Amino acid sequence: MGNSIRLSALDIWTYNEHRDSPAKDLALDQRNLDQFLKGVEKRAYRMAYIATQQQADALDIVQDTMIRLARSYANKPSEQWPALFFRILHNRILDWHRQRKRERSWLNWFSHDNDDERETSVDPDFADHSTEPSAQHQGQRAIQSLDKALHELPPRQQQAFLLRSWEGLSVAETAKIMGCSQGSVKTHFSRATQSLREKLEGQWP
Amino acid sequence: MSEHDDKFLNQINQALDDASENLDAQTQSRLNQARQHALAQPKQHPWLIPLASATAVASVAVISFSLLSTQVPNVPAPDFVEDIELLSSTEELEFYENLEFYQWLEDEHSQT
Repeated sequence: MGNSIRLSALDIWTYNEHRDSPAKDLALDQRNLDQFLKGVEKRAYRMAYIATQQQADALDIVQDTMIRLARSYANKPSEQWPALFFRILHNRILDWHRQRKRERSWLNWFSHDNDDERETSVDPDFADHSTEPSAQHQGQRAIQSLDKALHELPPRQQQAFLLRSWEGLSVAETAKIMGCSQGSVKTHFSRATQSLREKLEGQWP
Repeated sequence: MSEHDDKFLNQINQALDDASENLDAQTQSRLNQARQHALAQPKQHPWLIPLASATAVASVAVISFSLLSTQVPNVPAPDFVEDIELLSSTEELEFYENLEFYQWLEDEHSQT
């Protein structure tokens, strides 16, 4: 009888441990996810801002990406989070471009002056639309010219460059995120680097 | 990659790092809010995802079967197996959806 009481107590203790550990695991996962997102949010914002040149749109893109990751992929191993996060971010940026294409189509349909609409793929009032502080120092001017040069890259080249060079991802990881072949990643990256060098020559040492 | 390229890329990376570290206070605050909002989202249970996919596949099968059964015998049956595979493969679907768009992006930027 005594042994059976001790076994029952052990069973109860074991049951309670297992019952509580999922909650502990969840709290740990939540902290890990928080740490990951905190570590990546600023760079994600910069990528989205380089693509859109709009602070509000960039923030929306980053928030949507975070929500998607937290809602659908938080249960995945944490080492998969970077690739998942940037894949979602990349797709959200492409969604933004699609939306702009639809809006531009409507504008072209109503506008009589179609040539002028198409000429400026980059906002002519670049400085005015940016909420970044106006350049006062050489460093800030360099950042602005870099932002402009990156923004002017075709989206695929822009993505390949930022993921490969800035994030330091491998060709294979970048290919998976962009949903293209490794050869395409290398091509996009090479063209982006060449283009940036031509645009920034003389402004950068 | 040449040493010259490495130096150039390192400078760009450094500039991008500096810019991201020196975001204005308002943007940082909004990012913080976005992160908290994301973390507060209800989690989609892992078993729901394959269940939802299986439900979608089953629905397609039922609809396709009912279409087949009402078709005139001389009309060739649609390749619903391929449709099911396509629909269940979200990755391939995304690729097909994006293919035309990628071509448009290339064309747009070749004009500028």
